[in-house]
Amino acid sequence: MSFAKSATAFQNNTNIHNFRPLYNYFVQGEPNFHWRNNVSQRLNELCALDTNWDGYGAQPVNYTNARFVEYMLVAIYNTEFPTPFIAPGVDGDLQVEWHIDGWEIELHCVSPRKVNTTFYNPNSKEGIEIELDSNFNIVVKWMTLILNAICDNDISITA
Amino acid sequence: MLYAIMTSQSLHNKNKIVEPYNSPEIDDDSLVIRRISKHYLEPIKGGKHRLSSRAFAPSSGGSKGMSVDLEQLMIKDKIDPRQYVATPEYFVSVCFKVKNLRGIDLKVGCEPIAANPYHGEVWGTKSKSKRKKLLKLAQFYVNDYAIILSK
Repeated sequence: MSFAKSATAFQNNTNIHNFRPLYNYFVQGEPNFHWRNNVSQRLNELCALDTNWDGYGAQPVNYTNARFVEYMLVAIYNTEFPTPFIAPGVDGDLQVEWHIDGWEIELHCVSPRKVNTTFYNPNSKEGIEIELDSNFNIVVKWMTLILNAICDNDISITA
Repeated sequence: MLYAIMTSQSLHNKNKIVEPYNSPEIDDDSLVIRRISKHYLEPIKGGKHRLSSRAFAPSSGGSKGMSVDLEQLMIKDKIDPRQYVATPEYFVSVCFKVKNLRGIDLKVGCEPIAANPYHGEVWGTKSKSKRKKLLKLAQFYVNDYAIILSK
């Protein structure tokens, strides 16, 4: 039996319209965010650092951490946000940072699923520091809060 | 320098790691220098740069402090500190007065290592609020590229 015939037979014997396409659930899209190229380039640069790049024996950024950061950014990103700055840590870790008009979000990726986050509101002296694993809803809320505040003040945040 | 080495060796614990301490031989009026890699500098508007708080983060290994170079020990040994911290090539370096660091409850101690006999540690920079204070206290020590920092 040819493929076309077997496909028709399958269709006739099952109500195929009740099936939901599985690929929607298992295959993540690769959105082409405006920051994507810059972030990939930066992560490649940081993974390629030599040992002792800081003069005090620092390690290059760990590849697994870099991949995790890229996935994390795809998951949380708000397209109206500017490209983040990514700073290397001395132990193969890295930190994603946004500093917008006194507001600050810093995501320090120690290892995959161990992210120390800090949030600073320009109107309060003390910041919030929280350790997160895989749920970054709070970060999405902070981003929305910043965007709302920026819109109210009519400030441009383009990178 | 010999005194510094002897002192720090006597402070090694069972794991041969120096526990946080305040070296009495480091004067309050002396300077500690922190080399700043270009990777910590974010270019921003107006030709300025922002220094990432990672620049003052402690290491998770070893003595778990922020590594620094101790100017006082270099001067004693007639070493030019400005040349020393810029060799082989570091973008800029910043300095702190020891008194100011101790004033915000940080500990400053000697920890000479094979690659750097003038190496010291500043302990207590783990929290973001402390690192923000350091960003405000930092003064340029070497700035050959005329970097302007936004604070």
